[in-house]
Parts: sequence; C-alpha cells; structure tokens
Amino acid sequence: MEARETIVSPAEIDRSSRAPLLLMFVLAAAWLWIGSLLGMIASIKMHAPAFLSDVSWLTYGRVRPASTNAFVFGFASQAGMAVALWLVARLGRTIVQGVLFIIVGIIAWNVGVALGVGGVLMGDGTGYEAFEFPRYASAVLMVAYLIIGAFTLMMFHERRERALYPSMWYVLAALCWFPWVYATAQFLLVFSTVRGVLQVIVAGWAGHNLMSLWLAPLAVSAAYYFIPKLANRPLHSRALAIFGFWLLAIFGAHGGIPSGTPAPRWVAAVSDVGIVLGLISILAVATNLHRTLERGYARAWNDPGAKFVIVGCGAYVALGLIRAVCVIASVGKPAGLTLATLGVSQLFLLGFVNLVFAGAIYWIAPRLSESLREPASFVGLNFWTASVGAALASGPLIIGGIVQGQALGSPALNFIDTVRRTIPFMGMATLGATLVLVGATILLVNVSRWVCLACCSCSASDKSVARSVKISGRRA
Amino acid sequence: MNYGPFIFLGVLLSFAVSWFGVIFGSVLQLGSVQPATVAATGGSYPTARPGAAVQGRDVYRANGCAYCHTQQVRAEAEITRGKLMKYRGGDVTQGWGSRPSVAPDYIHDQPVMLGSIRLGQDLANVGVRQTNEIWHLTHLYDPRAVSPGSLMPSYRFLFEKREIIGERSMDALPVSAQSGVEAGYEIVPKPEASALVAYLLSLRADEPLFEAPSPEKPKQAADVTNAVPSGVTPAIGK
Repeated sequence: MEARETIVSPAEIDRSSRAPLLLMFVLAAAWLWIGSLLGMIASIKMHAPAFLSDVSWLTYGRVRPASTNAFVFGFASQAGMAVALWLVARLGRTIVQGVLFIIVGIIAWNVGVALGVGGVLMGDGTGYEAFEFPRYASAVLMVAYLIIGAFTLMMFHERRERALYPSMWYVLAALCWFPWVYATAQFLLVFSTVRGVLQVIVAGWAGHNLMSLWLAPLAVSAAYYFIPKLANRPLHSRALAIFGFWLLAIFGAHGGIPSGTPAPRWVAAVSDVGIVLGLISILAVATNLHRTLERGYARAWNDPGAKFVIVGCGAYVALGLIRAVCVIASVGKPAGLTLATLGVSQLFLLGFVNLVFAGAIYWIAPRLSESLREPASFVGLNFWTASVGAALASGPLIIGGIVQGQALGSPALNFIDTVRRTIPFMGMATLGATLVLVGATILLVNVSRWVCLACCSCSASDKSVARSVKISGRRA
Repeated sequence: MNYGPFIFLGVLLSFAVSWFGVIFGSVLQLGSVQPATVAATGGSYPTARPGAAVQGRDVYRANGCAYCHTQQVRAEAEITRGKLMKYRGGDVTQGWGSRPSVAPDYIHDQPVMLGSIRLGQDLANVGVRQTNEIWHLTHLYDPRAVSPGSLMPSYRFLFEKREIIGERSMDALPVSAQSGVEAGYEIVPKPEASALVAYLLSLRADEPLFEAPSPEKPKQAADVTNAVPSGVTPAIGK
C-alpha cells in the first residue's frame, strides 16, 4: 500500500542515477580503450618480438596482464556494477541513494585499477593469472567495492517493487559472489600464501569464478532485461530462467583447473563436471532469450544497442560449447597450454562481456543524459569493429592452438617450428585487436559526448533555475 | 523466487559448498606436504632454492615470463602388466622432462608460476637440459643469437652496455656486432639478469617421487629404459 503512495517515474530514477552512472560509463570506456591499446601492443609482440622490446615496462609479460586487468576490473567490472545499479533502481522502482558515497566508491575503484595497472607495468604483478594487481591496489579495490556494493544491496533491500525479475536474481548473486571470490584469492594468494600447488588451485578456481560468477551473471542480467524490452514482450519462461540460474549457482563455481595440472585428479574432475553443467545453464539462458526474441530479430537489429547484446550472447553460447568440448581429453589435452587458452579468454572478454556491456551502455547512457535526440555516431561501425574484432582476436588463436598442440606431439618438429606455424594465426589476432581498439575509441567518444551533454544540460538547468530565482526575487 | 533472502541464502550456500569442497578440501589434502626423502642419496627433494635463485624468481615474476613459459610437464604413464614401462606424450617427446610434474615439485615456490600458454618452451627442467650460464645470459640478451627463429623478445634492459676502458670485464657477454653491440663496447649483465639465470638453473624436477616413480627397467632392452626416448637431445636452442 505504501508503494502506491510513492511511485517514482523512470525519469526520476534516471535523474537520481545520472551522475554515478555516467561517471562509471565514461571511466569504463576509458579503461576499455587503455586495455584494448595494451592488448593490441601485446598481440603485436607475440609475433614481432623486436617491437618495443627495449622498454622494461612494455615487455610482453607485463603488457598482457596489464591489458587483461584493465579490461576485467577497469571496464567490465565497472560497467557491470553500473548496469547492476541501474537495473536495481529501474526494476526495484527506487531512487539511487547515497550518490555522494557511490561517487567516492567509484573514484576509489578507479584509483585502485590505475594503481594496479601501473603496478603490473612497473613489475609489481603478483604472478597469479587474473589476480596480478599488487596488494596495495587490491586493498583499494576491495574497499571501493564494499562501498558501491553495499549501496546497491541497500537499494535492493529498499526496493518498492517487491516482485523479483530474473535480472535481479543474477545481480544479487553476483554482488554476493564477487567479494567472496576476490577476498579468497587475495587472502590465500597474497596475504597468507598457501603452500605449493594449492596456489594454482586457488588462482584457477577464483579466476574461473571471477568470470563465471561475477562478469557473466552481470552480463546475463543485462541481456535478460534488454532482450524482452526490445522484443516488446515478456520473457519466454520464468521456469527456465529459474532452472538456468540455480544450475549456475550450484555448479558454476567449479572450474578453472584443467586436467593435466599437477594437482590431485579429483580437483580437475570436479572442475570438468562444473564446466559441462555450466554449459546447460548457458543453454537455458540462450534458449529463453531466443524464444523471447523469436521473429523479433529484425526489429531488434534496428536498435543501436540490441545488436551488441544479441551477438554477445551468441559468443557466450560458443564459449560454453568450446569449454565443454575441451573437457573431452582427446581434444582438451592437445589444445591445453597453447594459444587456444588465450583465444578462449579473449572470446569471453571481447566477445561476450565487451559486446553485452557496450550494448547496455548504448541503451542506458543516452537516456541518462536526456540526449535521445542526439543519436550516437558510428554505432554501426562500432558494432562491426567490436564484433569482427572479437571474432578475429579469439577464433584464429583457438584454431592456431589446436594446430600448435598437434605439432607439439610430433617428434619430427622441433619446438621453434611448432611455434612459427602459429604466426599467421597470431597475425590475424593482431588485426582483431586493432579492430577492437577502433571500436573502443568510438565508444569512448560517444560516451564522452553524452557526459558533456549531460553536464551542459545540468549547468543550463542550473542557470535557468538561478535566473528564475532572480526574476522571482525581483518580483517579490 | 520473489523473496530476496531466499535467493541470498541459496546463493551463499551453493557457493560455500564449492568453497569448502575445492579450496578447503585441497588445503586439507595438500596443505602440509613435506619434502620426500631420496632413497639413493638420503637427501630430501625438493630442496629450497638458493638465495640468488629466489631473487631470480622475483625477476621471473616481475617480467611475466610465465605468460609464455609453462613449468609443468604432462606425460601419460604406459603401464604393462601392472608395471610402469615409460612415460609418453608430447612433452616427453620435446625432451622437457623424464616424468610428469606432480604437486610436491612446487612446495617451496611462492608464487607458483605454472603458466598456461606455451609460446616458449616448458621450463620445468631447464636447469637439467641447459646448464651453461653464459648460454642463458646470451639468450636473454639476444635470443636469436643462440636460438635462430625464436620469437622470444630480448631482455636488454636486464643488461648494461658499457664502454670498454682498458680491459674487458670478466663477466662481459660474448656477443658480437650482429647483436647490435658497437666496437669498443661490452655487455655486462645487471644483478637481475644473473639472478634470473640462477633461478633458471635451479629449475629441475627430475627426481623420481612416490607420485611419479621412475619407470621399470626391462632386463633385455637397454635402449628403452630411459623415460626420455633415445635420440631426443635437449631441445633448447634448436
């Protein structure tokens, strides 16, 4: 009953969330650009070892993790938190509270990412994949997350719309999983390091969960929101959504330890089971979205943001299938420890996460800056460069990895020949990385323009308020 | 599914199962692995790395060597009539190790850098197959000078280029003009380079262990006794 008295309009919600969301979007786009630039440099270095090789902070072993971390923490996590905040506000029909605190949290988060990327480039990386940020950066990130996460959860708690749409389940779950995963990794790897190969198990498990239980659910929550909106019809099946969600929750956390790792066999076996059941959860989400969109693809294709989300979800399905196939020993063993590993992670980050969040930004940001009449420029080009770039940055590496894996098993070839066979594939990946950088540039320009428009309209409305106050003062 | 606390509890419980199962379970199993006693010598394996190698491990970590080099040998055991005859697989063919890597090999390392991509060779046993310090230093300075066709970047920032005043330094590298060193100059490793090489030389995981025993020696055929197939020489530098 109380809810009816205090209905808030979407416009009011958007106005309350404008400042933190636009700040997060523009910073996320900036990190995407930095991550893509570093990614392109790393990609060139793979096949042209003399490129920028005399500078210690630009050596491949520093640029690659700096790029991945800028992408994961600077872009994807930040854009994901922004989307989560917006979804909780929109779906919960509640105004964003504690804007100042959230902004402090955002600034702290970005300081943490900057310290981390800088630290990795300076040679302070921890040596654990996906958790390379040195401890001074991780501590700042953790505090920043606690601020942003706490306010999002508080808004979730105080929502006026009590019914929970599937997007909200994923947001709630991801917000709870991330601190646990991140704190486990930091505590057991950096602050109180566990013994020997346990570090590999912790890093593999936590790295897998950082992708599967943090970035993926946030992206899925966005897809669950946008696709029914675009199709202009309700979600196909709530039951299927429940099935997919709990399958992810129960089995999604296992993974990240490939068989062949010098760890107890049962750990790899549990990981394989988790990956196969994770595929079913992915397929449940994909089927649900496909059935919702049925016959609406053409219509959705005309929306600037929708194409990104649809292709991104396609990449998610491809990723699940590839991972599940790699569980089969005769495929996974030769492809393991080759370029294919990098290709799969690029498919997740550039194909799935990047595209879905870019689509979400193209949907949300213009609404926040009240500049719907000012269409974004070159969105089509952004879409094609980002999606073709992601395909080129991952597909050739996966195929090249299989080629490399087979060559490694043949006694006739020495090692250098096996690696040189993959040069054409690495070259194609560089082309992909370049296209991704072009896409990131367009996104950054568009988002910056919206931020400028929002600032201008804010200051303009401030001026008009001031003028009207003056006028009314004179009249009085 | 409209009740927040229900989802919250379900999500935490299911995650706790994975946490306790995978993380806590592994800690229980491997948290207190001790070095094994080597039957032949009575010593223990693995031993802690010497000080210079520990510093070198830091150089290895800082420069992200693990993004191209793994430190894990994968091999399958070939068992006939209950006896381990030999290890086989691509890694054994490449000459990267005589037995698969197992958990106890890593107990002294922090961080453990197994790596996940092999753009370069596996280094689990690099200290067994290439013991020449000068070779390693030259390889770091100019990889293609000793290993033609290699895709490894050079690590010149780990070295100092000095003008030769009087006599050449004792530790100057035997690099030529082809590596871009002008006449009258010499290349001397910085402490980081020497430490890194000390670490590389300390990388050897070839002691038979309970988890990875040495293969049985058949009585007649002496040439198949060794786990590394004959004819395979250490592949480094090829």
